[in-house]
Amino acid sequence: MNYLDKLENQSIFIIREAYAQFRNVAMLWSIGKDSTTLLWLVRKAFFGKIPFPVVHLDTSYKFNEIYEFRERYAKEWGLNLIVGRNEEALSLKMGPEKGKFECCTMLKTDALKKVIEKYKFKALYLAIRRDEHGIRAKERIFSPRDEDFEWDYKNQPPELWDQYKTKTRTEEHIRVHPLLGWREIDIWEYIKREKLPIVSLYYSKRGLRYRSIGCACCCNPVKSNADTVDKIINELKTSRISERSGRAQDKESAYIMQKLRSLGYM
Amino acid sequence: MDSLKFIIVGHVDHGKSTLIGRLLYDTDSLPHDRIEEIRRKTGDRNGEREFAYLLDHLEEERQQGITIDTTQVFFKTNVRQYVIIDAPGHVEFVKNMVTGASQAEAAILIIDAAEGVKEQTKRHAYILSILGISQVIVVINKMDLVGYGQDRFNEVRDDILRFLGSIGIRPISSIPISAKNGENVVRVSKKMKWHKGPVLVKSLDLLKSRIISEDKPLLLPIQDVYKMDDKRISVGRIETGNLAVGNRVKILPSGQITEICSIEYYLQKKKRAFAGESIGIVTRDSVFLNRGDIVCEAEKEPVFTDNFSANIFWLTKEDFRKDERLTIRCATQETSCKIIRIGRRMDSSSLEVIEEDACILKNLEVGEVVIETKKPIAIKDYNDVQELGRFVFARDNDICAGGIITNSRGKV
Amino acid sequence: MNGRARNIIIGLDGVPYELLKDLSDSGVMPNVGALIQKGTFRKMSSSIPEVSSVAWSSIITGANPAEHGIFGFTDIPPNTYRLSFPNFDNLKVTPFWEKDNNSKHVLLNIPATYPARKVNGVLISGFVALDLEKAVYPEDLIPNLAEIDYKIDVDSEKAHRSLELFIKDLNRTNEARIAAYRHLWVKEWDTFMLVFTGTDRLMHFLWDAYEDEGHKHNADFKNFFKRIDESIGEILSRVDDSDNVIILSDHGFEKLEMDVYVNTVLIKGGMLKLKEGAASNYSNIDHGTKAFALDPARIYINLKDKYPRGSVDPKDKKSVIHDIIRRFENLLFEGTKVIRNIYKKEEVYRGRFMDMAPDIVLVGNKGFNLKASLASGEIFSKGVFTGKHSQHNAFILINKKELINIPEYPSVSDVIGIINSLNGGGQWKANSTTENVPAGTARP
Repeated sequence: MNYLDKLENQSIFIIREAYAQFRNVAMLWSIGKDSTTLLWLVRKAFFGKIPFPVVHLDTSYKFNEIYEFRERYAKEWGLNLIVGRNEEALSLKMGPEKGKFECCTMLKTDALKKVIEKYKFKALYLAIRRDEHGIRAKERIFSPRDEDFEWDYKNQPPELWDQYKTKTRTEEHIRVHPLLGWREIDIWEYIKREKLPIVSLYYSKRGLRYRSIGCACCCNPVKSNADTVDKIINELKTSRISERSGRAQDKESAYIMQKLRSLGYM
Repeated sequence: MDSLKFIIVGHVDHGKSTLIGRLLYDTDSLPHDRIEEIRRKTGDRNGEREFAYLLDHLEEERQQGITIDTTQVFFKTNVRQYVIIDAPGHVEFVKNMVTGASQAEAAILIIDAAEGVKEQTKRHAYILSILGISQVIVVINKMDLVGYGQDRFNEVRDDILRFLGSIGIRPISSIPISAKNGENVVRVSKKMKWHKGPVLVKSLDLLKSRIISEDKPLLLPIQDVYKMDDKRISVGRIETGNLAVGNRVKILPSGQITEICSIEYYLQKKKRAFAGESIGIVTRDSVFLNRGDIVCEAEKEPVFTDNFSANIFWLTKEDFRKDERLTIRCATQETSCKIIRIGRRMDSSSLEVIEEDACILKNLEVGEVVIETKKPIAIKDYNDVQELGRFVFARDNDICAGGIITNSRGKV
Repeated sequence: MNGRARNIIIGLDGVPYELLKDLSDSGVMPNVGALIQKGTFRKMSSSIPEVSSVAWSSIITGANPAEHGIFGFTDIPPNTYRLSFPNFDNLKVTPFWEKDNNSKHVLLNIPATYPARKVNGVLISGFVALDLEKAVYPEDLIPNLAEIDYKIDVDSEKAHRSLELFIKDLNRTNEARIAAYRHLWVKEWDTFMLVFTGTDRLMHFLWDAYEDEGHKHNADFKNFFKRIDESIGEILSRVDDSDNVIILSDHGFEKLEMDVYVNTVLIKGGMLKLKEGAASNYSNIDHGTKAFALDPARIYINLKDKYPRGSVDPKDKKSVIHDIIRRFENLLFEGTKVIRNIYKKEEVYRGRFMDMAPDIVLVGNKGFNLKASLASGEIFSKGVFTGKHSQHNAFILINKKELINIPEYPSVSDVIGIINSLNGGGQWKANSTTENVPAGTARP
C-alpha cells in the first residue's frame, strides 16, 4: 500500500466509525479543495450514496465559481444539500465592511449553530488538516465541542489505536476530522490521482491563483503560474520546507494577532 | 512508495531535534531553494556551519512547537518515505505522547552517551512497551563527547539493554552516533570503525511497515452494515491477513460459516483485499453481520473468551477503584467489564511495584490485571496480533486507559 | 533578605486614578479605600504610547522605550515590511529581579514577560503569553497551575460573541489567578509582584456598564472590582507594616467615543500607498509611501535605505514630518480636535535604541481611540469596545505616608526609583541612563 492508499483507507475508516457511532451526522462542505476531497472520501465510504446531508454555509459573499461548482456537483453526485444561511443577519446587511470577525461569526458560526439546532446533528465531518495552523496540531480526530462551540483542548481524552471518543452529552457535538493527518501536498496528489474536479479558482489565471478559497471579499490570490494540478504539486514541492517554516512563524503570529485583535489592539 | 511512521523518544536534552535535523539534512529532504537560502546566509559551503544554522532554525520551530502536542516531519530514503511523529518530552503530557506514539510503527530511543540512561529514558521506553511498539532502535548519541569510545558505548548500551529486556523490548539494533557531526546517521563513521552494525538510516530501512500483517490469518472487525439496493454490505478494515471472493469465513461470536460473495469498493472491482484496506463485503448466505462481529478464518480464529490478563496504563486524573465497571473496546467490539484482580500496581517510570493485589489505580500508573467481560470477545495475545491484542477502557464515553493483552487464556 | 522589608507590588492593569477613587469612595473597594486614607495615592502618567507592553516594560526596568526597546505590541524591523511581535526576549535591559539575584522574587502575570526565563524564584508570564508551558519558570509548577485551571488571559474573543460568556470566563480566569497567588504566597520570597489584567479586559468591553447604573452588567462590573478589592484585603492582612505595598496601574482608561484610523488619514492624504488589488497589510506598502503607522498611533517615516520601498530621502524627512504634524493637528471630528498631543521622537524618547523609535507618536483627545489598521477605509468608525486606554491617569498607591522622594506626578518609569527609595536605596537601580528626560512618559 502506498502513502496515499494508507491515508485514504484510514480516512474511510474514520468516516465509517463516526457514522456507526452517531448516525445523525452531517458533513460541512466549503467547496474548497480539502472539503471536496473529504466529500469524495465520504462518497467512497458509502459506495456513492451518502446517507446524510452535506451542509454548505453560504455567506452570500462566495465566489461565483463556488456557487456554480456547488450546483453542478450537488446534482451530479446526488447530494442531500443543506444550504445554511443566516437570513436574519443578511437582511440586516451584515457584511465584511461591518468587521470581518463579526461577519464570519454571524454568517458562518451562527449559521452553523442554526443548522445544528434545527437538525440536531450529533457529529459533523470537517476537512481540517493538522498542518494548517498551530492550534490545529492539538486537534484530535474526534473532538468534542460544547453548546457554545467551545473546544477544551487542554482536557481532551487521549485517542489511541483508532479508538475515539464515543457518545456525546446532549448539549455537545463532535467534530470529526478524517483528513487531520493529510498535508496540503497530499491533498493535491490525491486530487491528481483520483482526477477530482476542483473549483477553477485554484488554477493560475494571469499569474495569480488562490491557495484557499472562501468569500470573494476576504480572499487574496498568490502569485503563481501553476495552471494545472501537476504544476501546483510541483510548486508546493519546491517550496515545501520554506513554506512550512514560514508558516510556523505565521502560526504564532496569527495567534498573537488574534489575541491583540480581540482586544482592539490591532 | 512505502511509508513508515516512527517516533523519537528519550530524555528531553539527549538530542532529539539535532537528530531530526540531521536526518532531514543528510537525506537531502530539504528543497534546494531552502538550502540555497541557508548558504547565502552562512556564506560557506562546507556543510558544518550550514547544518548548525539549519539546526538553529529547526530548534526555533520546535520550540514554537512546544505549544503543539504532536507534529509530523517528513523525509525520504531510497526505500521509503518516513514520517517522524515529534512528541515533546514533558512528564505531564504523557497523555499526548501516548496519543502520538500510538500511531507509530516504530521508535528510536535516544540516549546521551555522556549522561547515560535517565528516568525519562526509562519512562518513555516503558510507554513504548505498553503501547506495544516492538520495533525499537537504540541510538547512543553525542559519541563525540566521549571521544567516540567503544567502552563507553558498550557501557550505556548494556545498561539500556538490561532495562529494555526487563520490559520485553528487544531492540533491532544499537547504534553509536553523533547527530551533531553526522556520524553513523546517514554516513558511515570513520571515527567509529569498531561499530560493525548498520548506520541509523539503514537500520530504519530494515524496519517493517504494518503491512506485513497480511501474512497472518484474516481478521476483519465489522464496523457497520449498510443496506444498499437490496444488498447488505458489511464494512470494516482488514486488520490482518487478506480476503478473496469465494473464501469461506467464520463469523464471531455467532460461529456461523459463510462465503464471501463480493468485495465492495466504490467505482472499482476487486477480487482480493489486504490488511489495511477499508472495504465492504457481501456474504453468500443470509448471515446477518453486526458491528463488533469479527470475520476470520475457521480453525485460525482468535481466542473467544470473557477472561484474560493484561497490562493497563491508567490515563486519567480520576482514580480507578476495583469495583467499578468499565466499558472495554477492542477493535470494533464493545462490552462492559470488571477488573477482577490488580496483581500489581506500578509506577510507570521506575516500574517500582507500589502494591501487590491492589484495589486502586491512579493517573499514569500501570497495572497487571485480570479482566472479566460481560460477554465473551475475540482477542489475541498482543505479541501475536496487535490489532486484537490491545484495547481501551472508556468511562463516561471518554477513554481513560489503554491496555495490551498479555495472556488471552485467562488467569495467570 | 532576612529582616529587611519585603516588597509587595500589585498591578491593576489599566485602572484609572479616578475610577479607583470613585469605587473606594462608594464602598465597592473598602480595602483600597482604607489604604488610600493611610498611604500615598498619586496620579501617574503612562508610557507613550499608552499600551501595556510598553508601560509594564518601563515599570519593571525603570527605562524609557528607547532604552528598553519595546514600543508596542507590534514592530516592523528595518529592511522589511514584516510585522513582528516583540516579546520578553526583545527587552533590551534587565528587569529589576534580574539585577537583584540575591533576593527571591515571585512574579505573577506581568505583561510582556513571555517567554518566561530563569529567575531566582518564580516567573509566570502575562499577556501576550501563548502557551503556559513556555510561560512558567520553574517548569515543575506547571502541573500545579494545571490543577487550578490557571489561564494566562481571558479569552477576549468571547466578548465579541456574548458578554455573558466573557464575564463568566473573566471571573473564572481571575479566580484561577487568585488561586495561583495563594499557592505562590507560601513560597519563600522578598518581592511578590502580581498583576491583575482582567480589569483592563473588563473596561474595554464594559466601560459603559461602569458609567451607566442602569446597565445590565453594572453589577458584574462592580463585582469584579469588589473581588479584586477582597484579594487586596487578603494580601494586606498577610503583610507587616514594615513591608512595602505598592499598588499601581500601567495606564488609565476612559470612555471610547470614536475609533480613529491613523493610517486611513495617511492614505487619504496620499502619504501611504498600498499595492493595487493586494491585501491590506504592511508587506504590501508600495513605492511612493511617505509614512505608515503601527498601533496604536506610532508613525514611521518610510525612509530610503531603511525600508524596502523607502520613498523619503533623509534630507526631506523634516518637511514630511512637518506635513504629517499639520495634518493631524487639524484633524477634526464634528468640530472637535481629535489629537491632543503630537510628539516627535526626540521629545519623548532617549536612549540607545532611538533608531527603532517611531518618528511621531500621537495621543488622542478624550474619547478618541487611535488605531493603525490599514484596512479600515474610513477615518472614523465605532466598534464593539466601549472603553479605551488613556495616557495621563494611571495611579500609584503606596502603604506609606510622607514620602519625600516621590514626584508629585510620577510616570511609569519612575516606579523602580520609588521602590528603591522605599527600600532605602541601592538595590534596584533603574536602567535609565538618562536623567531628567521625559522618558517616553511625557506629562501633559
